Amino acid sequence: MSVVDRTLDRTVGLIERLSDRLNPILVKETRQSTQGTFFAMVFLMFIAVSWVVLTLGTLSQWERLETDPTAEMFFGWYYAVLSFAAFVVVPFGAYRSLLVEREQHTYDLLTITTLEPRRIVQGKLASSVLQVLVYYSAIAPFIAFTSILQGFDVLWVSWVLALSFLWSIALCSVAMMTSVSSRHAQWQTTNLVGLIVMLLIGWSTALSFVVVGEAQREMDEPNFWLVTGICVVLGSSYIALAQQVTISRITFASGNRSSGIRWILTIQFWLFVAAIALLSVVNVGVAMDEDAQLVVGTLATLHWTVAGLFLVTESEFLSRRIRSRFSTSRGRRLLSAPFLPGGSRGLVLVFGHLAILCLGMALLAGVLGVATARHARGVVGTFVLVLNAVVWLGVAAIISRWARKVSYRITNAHVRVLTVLLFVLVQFVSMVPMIISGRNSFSVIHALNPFVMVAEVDDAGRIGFAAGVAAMIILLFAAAVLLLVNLPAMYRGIRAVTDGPTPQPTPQPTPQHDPPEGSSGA
Amino acid sequence: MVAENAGLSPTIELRNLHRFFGTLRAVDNVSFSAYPGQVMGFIGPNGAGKTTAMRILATLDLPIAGDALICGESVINEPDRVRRVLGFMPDSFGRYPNMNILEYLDFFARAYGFRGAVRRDAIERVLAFAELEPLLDKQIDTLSKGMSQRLCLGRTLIHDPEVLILDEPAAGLDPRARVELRELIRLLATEMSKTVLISSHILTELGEICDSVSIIEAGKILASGTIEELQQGTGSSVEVDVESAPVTEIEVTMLGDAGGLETWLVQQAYVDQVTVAGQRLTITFSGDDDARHGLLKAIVLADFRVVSFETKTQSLEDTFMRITRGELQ
Ligand SMILES: Nc1ncnc2c1ncn2[C@@H]1O[C@H](COP(=O)(O)OP(=O)(O)O)[C@@H](O)[C@H]1O
Ligand SMILES: [Mg+2]
Repeated sequence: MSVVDRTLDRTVGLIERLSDRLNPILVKETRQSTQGTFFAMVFLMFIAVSWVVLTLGTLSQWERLETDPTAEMFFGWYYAVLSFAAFVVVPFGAYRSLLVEREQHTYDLLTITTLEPRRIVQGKLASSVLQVLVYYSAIAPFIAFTSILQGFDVLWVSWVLALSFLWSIALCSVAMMTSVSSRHAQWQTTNLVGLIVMLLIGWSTALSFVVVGEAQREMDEPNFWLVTGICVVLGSSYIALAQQVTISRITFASGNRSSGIRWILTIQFWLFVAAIALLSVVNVGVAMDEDAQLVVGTLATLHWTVAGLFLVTESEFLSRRIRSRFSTSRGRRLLSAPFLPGGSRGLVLVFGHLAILCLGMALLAGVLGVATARHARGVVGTFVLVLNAVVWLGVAAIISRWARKVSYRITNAHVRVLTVLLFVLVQFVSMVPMIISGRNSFSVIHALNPFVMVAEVDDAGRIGFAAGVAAMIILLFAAAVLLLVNLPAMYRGIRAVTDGPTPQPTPQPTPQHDPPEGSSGA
Repeated sequence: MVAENAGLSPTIELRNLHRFFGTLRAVDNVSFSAYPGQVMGFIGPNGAGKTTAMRILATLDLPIAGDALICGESVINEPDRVRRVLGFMPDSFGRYPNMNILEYLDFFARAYGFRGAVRRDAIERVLAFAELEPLLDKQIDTLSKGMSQRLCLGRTLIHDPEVLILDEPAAGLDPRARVELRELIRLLATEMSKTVLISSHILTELGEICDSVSIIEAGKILASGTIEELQQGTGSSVEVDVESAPVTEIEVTMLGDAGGLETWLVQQAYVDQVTVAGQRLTITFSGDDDARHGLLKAIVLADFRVVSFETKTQSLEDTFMRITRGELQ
């Protein structure tokens, strides 16, 4: 054996050992793209366009190159090329990649290996990230060229490239979520069109953001890096959420499809709270500002309402597989119960956090000593929104429980759509008197219209006092009723966890199961 | 069923499995067991529910009621453990573009968590078994049907599972590839004492390799047992009364007119039915060997000019046709 052979052997052995650590999907997809023609073609086109930009740009700007700040223009062009690859081509590839596994029947083969859904999703994402990195390194020489031109802002370019990387991963995650969001063929086209529109919007938004360069001028602002940091953390949390939803969708039907999502939603909420707290410490004005309070309250309520719509419509069924992972300690079971699958436990989780939100807002108003009628707008506005959330999530939970009794054909998605339609209908009805009379006046009929209510609270001067109080009482009453109606189910949902039978090691024959979600299968 | 007698516990056990699609009862209360070293045939016409049942066994779908155990683990509650001991070969190939045989197997070996030397050994073992070594770097989308099927079987074996579930593996193969595949499957059961469940809509395809078969139609198991038991009608049957006495057909050829023999025959014991075609008679006979001997002796003594007297065993196809009723969903 020659030295060369031995060295080669060692190198290959090293690569082998390294690749052992890597995600199998990543290894596979990298091999496939090096053998296939698609990636090579796109990549060559990418390089070609970059050269065209370089050549045409240099020729047309020849006279100005040494004197004028042309770096920005060049960077803008390269960014357009790079971002098209990173925000459209790669995310679309991520979407196709998961879809093709299904179409080619390889998905089943993957599922029955010991590769967990988490690893499958991570592998797909990793290979997207790798592609983005390849595009980044391919464009690097061109950007290095612009750096020698006049007016090149290193800090700004680095900031843009770093955030774009994150944005690309976010788009890939959403694209992957889209590809598993429905198994039905009739939705695939809708999903495809929706995804393409979303990617193009994502691309053009980012592009105009960079070209307009508003943020570039704000880089010296004191809070610029703090805000960037918060955006990165919260943005990453949404990437994690999209990933978790994808993982849940491809998790075996008897597995736990909900807890991961619930934990991420909870962490997101607390990150948001922490971010606001941090901002308030740095800039005390934020906490004092009632408009900011209302925005914070609205965002937090919206977060739990949208999430809640999905959580409270889940099936109550706890499979043996989920039960087998229960803790033996009652206390720990009680604490984990709101995070376990099931609509009633979803209600506990969401209502619990909405209560925390209200409490926090009230405390804030109290501590800051601004709880005067005028200064309480943010707090009262949040209360109105939270009460509405309680009402409509309560309705969704009731419909969901009722639907399960009526027919197994009514899916969670149907329940959600029905709830939203009901909500829209009520909003519409409450607007009818206003439309007929043509007068823009507030009355009790707007009790269940959060838009009008919050606008009235916000615009405290115009609210008819008696009408406002009456509307508030009606809203409170409605929320209380829906909470009470749901309370027994919530109690049962928690008891099912704390008092539920501990799993026996040997499975019993013929347990009656919930039918698998939808008409799954093919 | 040697294994069963030896007191081994079943490696595949279906317990009152149900899977409906809306009102369609694709799998309707199916129960059966298979043991190590056994090749079990799962036979039924298209749309009978074979694939549905097999997908449940392979932890790709959930039953609405009932359970199935693979090596004692429930496919509902412990799919992860089941996946470690189970190899499933679906009715579709599942091909990846831009990949050669080695990379394909390497990917699945990685997916099962094999690393380094273990992974290489697993791949080599499979390549040797499926005789694919000379084709290592052949692109998988250029493989012939027979090769693909061998590669699929190889992929199914990559983690050396104890239980193999093969969904119509012989479909679309030419006779030669079919024989090769049969040999491989036989080897798996005898040499490696794996449990093999293999489905087909053609009974004869499985006749030579199966120790026992279950016949399914419209989601229900109609009969199960060894091939001999089914042919003699003694296999356990669930829904249909397969005639309980062994029924044989006897073909008699004689010189001259058969009419006289026919009238004589119908008066004899155990003769259920006689059909005449020229010089040939077919007797449906429900007696045992002694009775048949008695009949032959009587024919000869009665001086009929018989030149041949032949007991026909029922063909597998006949058995299949007799048990299934051609009900389609
Ligand atoms: N995902 C599904 N949705 C609705 N019906 C299905 C689905 N899968 C199978 N079926 C139906 O179930 C029956 C059994 O199908 P299958 O198990 O594929 O039969 P086989 O494999 O024996 O030919 C068929 O009538 C088929 O149409
Ligand atoms: Mg089939």
